[in-house]
Amino acid sequence: METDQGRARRAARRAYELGRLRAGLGRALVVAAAAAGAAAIVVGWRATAWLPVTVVVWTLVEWRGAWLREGARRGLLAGLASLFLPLSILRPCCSPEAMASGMACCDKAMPSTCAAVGALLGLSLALLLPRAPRERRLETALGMALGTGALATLRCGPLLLGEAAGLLGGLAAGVVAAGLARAWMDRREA
Amino acid sequence: MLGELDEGELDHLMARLAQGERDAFDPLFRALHPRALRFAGARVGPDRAADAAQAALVRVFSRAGEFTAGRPVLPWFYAIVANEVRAIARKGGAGRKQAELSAAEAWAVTPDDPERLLVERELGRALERALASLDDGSAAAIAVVLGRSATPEVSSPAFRKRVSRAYARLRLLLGGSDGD
Repeated sequence: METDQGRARRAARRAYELGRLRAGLGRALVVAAAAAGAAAIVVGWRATAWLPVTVVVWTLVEWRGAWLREGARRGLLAGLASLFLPLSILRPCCSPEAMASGMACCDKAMPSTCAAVGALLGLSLALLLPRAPRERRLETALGMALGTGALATLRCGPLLLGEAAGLLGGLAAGVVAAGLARAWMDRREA
Repeated sequence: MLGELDEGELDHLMARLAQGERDAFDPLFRALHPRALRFAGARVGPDRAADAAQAALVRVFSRAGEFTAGRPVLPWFYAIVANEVRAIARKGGAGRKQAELSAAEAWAVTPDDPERLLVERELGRALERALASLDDGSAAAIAVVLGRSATPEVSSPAFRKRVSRAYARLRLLLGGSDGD
């Protein structure tokens, strides 16, 4: 039979997790509202169709907290930067100059370009990676990828599916590469 | 004995738990559960102590994310526990007369009860820690209210304003809001 202390412990733990989830949802809604504003201005209202992804990812990040949240907060900056990427970079043959010169690939997906741009953005995150303890680096890098992805998803609205996957995959690969590079540098410094 | 951790360790554990470090939960729970049980026992009696302590701890841990790192945990903890236990005592007294309701808010044990003495001593220490965390002006104003120092030579409205500000800061420190 469960003791009073065991029952109280279980109830307290459940209350703790629910409390974090509630607070996390509140913060996620604030982040999503700000992201929706930025995305609507920069990308267009179509982008807000992806907003539930931002809310779910950010709620998860805030609920887990610790280094995952620390990483995600830094990743938010890169995600914000991705919103401002012009479509002509993600899909070069859609630029007015390319179309004027007769290139007609604007209806085709270009995941490789998106992946390259995403990877570049992800790699630049090395500058923002927080100094996490060795055993928490994976969690921090995952947090950065989630934080970046939570906002970069909004950029995917006007992209084709392959391009969207390329951009997000490139970002994730860039973040992981940046994390590994940072770990290597820290080891050399030690 | 009220847990094996000293107050500095408790502050550190609660700050970590507020950040989302789950490994701080168990040691913190083990340290706070006996305190909540003791407090509830002294206030509502041993029969209802376990349920009251559980309700109080549920409230404390559901608000753990709001705890501000760097502040002392015990004043914050006791403020929440006292509110919760008082609410339970009142609920138990529904339908009774006002005098009986007031009695329900008082101690359920005699003044020389060792458990009560222990709780009172720790409550006193928690209050001192809360006061020590206040800025000098607020701490001085509260000290005057507690009769520990003389009223400063300022006009009465100015002093009242100072005390009101000090109370607001103390309430914030104890986990309340400006409007509480």
